[in-house]
Amino acid sequence: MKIFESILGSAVLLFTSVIPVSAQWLHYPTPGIPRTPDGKPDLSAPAPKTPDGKPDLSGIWTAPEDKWFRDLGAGGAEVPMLPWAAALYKQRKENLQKGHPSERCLGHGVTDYDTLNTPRRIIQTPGVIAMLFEAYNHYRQIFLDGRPLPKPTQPSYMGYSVGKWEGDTLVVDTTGLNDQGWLDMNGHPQTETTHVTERFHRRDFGHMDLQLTIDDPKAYTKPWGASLSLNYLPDEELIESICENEKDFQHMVGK
Amino acid sequence: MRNRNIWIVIALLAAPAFMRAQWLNHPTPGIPRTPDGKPNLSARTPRAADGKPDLSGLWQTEPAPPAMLESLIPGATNGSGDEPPSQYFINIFADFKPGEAPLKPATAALLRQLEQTYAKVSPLSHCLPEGMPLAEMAPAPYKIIQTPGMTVMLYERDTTFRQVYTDGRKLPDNPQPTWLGYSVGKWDGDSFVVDTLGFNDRSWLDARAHTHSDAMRMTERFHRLDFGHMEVLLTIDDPKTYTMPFTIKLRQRLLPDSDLLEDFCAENEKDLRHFEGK
Repeated sequence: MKIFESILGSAVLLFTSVIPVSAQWLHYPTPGIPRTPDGKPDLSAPAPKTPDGKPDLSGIWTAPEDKWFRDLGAGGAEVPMLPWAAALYKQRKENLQKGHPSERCLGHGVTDYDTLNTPRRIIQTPGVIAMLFEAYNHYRQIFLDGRPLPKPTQPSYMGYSVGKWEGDTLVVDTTGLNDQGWLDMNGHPQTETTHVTERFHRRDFGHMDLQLTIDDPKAYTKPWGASLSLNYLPDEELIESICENEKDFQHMVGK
Repeated sequence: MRNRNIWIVIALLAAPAFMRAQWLNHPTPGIPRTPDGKPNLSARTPRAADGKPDLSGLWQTEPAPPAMLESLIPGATNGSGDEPPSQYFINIFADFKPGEAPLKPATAALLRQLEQTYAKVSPLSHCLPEGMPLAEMAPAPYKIIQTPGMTVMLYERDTTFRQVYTDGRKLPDNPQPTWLGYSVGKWDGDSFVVDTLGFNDRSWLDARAHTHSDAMRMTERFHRLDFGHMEVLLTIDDPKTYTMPFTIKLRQRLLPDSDLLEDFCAENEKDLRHFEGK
């Protein structure tokens, strides 16, 4: 068991190894953020607004820990898997993440980028939000221009995302996902009918609640998900992090 | 053989064009249109809230004119049917007469060596990043999102991005070398001037294997001429590799009613073992 834990630990490290490097990066003071009289970022100041009065989610954020990234059901909710999904999940988990797309430099998808405890920058404009992920240097777009979710065309790892405001909460719906991505490192299955709903609520300057709901009758008997709180990272930058050619792949041990 | 190898490198980057037709053609909201509903690409340059030109939009570098393409790669105009790349993507020294490009002797020697095995040794064949300026000249779209304090470029190829700080900070003295470098931008009249340094020495400037060092500095001057057209004056200054700085002019056009596709090079990594090389 001890060995199992340490192997799992080192496998997870492969995906989080950029963290120590952050310390070597430039700590340029983020301009325009609220500060206390001693100059420290005031993370409990009110959430900022855009000129059109909507909450402004822009900034660098991270999940506080990697437990949801490893297992989206880590919050304790039962994950109501259909038998085929339960069997696949068991196999992936026992195989210690071997076969995860990230071992081939394909990175992550909506849920596992959301729950990753490495930085991502949100850039919010009236018509589109871009999420820039430090890991793999990937990005994702969320359209806010009122367009409907399209009929699925080309299934993809990131899917197709549209967002709308419900009061101060940004509700993002994503479909068009492929069945190659995993919802988490343990391997909860994602299919081409998976519908992910993210509810972002910036509670104050430094904290954002994120509620994730997975709805996929092909894999799960009812909707399920996770609730976490993202932390704002002041005076930080994203560092370029490129996945090079399957170097990780040969280190994945499997069962 | 050399030409065939060049086309393989180019084809690696042109693949998403095949898929464009399958994408949803959602009308881009808020763009000027003629009375018949078509995008009016000669309308005026839009302005941001601060009065500066707004460069936001989906852009693509214009392909090489047919005669130029033919002179760079004889027979290429009867090629694969894909939209051809810019002449500078094929050869960043396309404006120079043969033999007059400002290569230092060691650079020329390295080039002769790399030329034997383009496709095998190209960073692109290994799904490594295009780097700069290749990403900006590639025959694939990129999106500019301009916000106060930061302008972002989202490149379709490999779903990768670049950040340009516009909050007034200076370039760092000794940044960690990266594929895309560290960029700061400022306005000079109606031109957005981006200065970049902190590159690693691993990417190529073009498909022809023109290399660069970690001393390279790049300056881009983006000038949006009207709604649908932009010129980018791009200057490379790398005294370790080239005897003088040189400048190319990229013409870019706005792609209306379209968007970026997801593209992960690693999905095509299987191709590598099929490439020939000496």
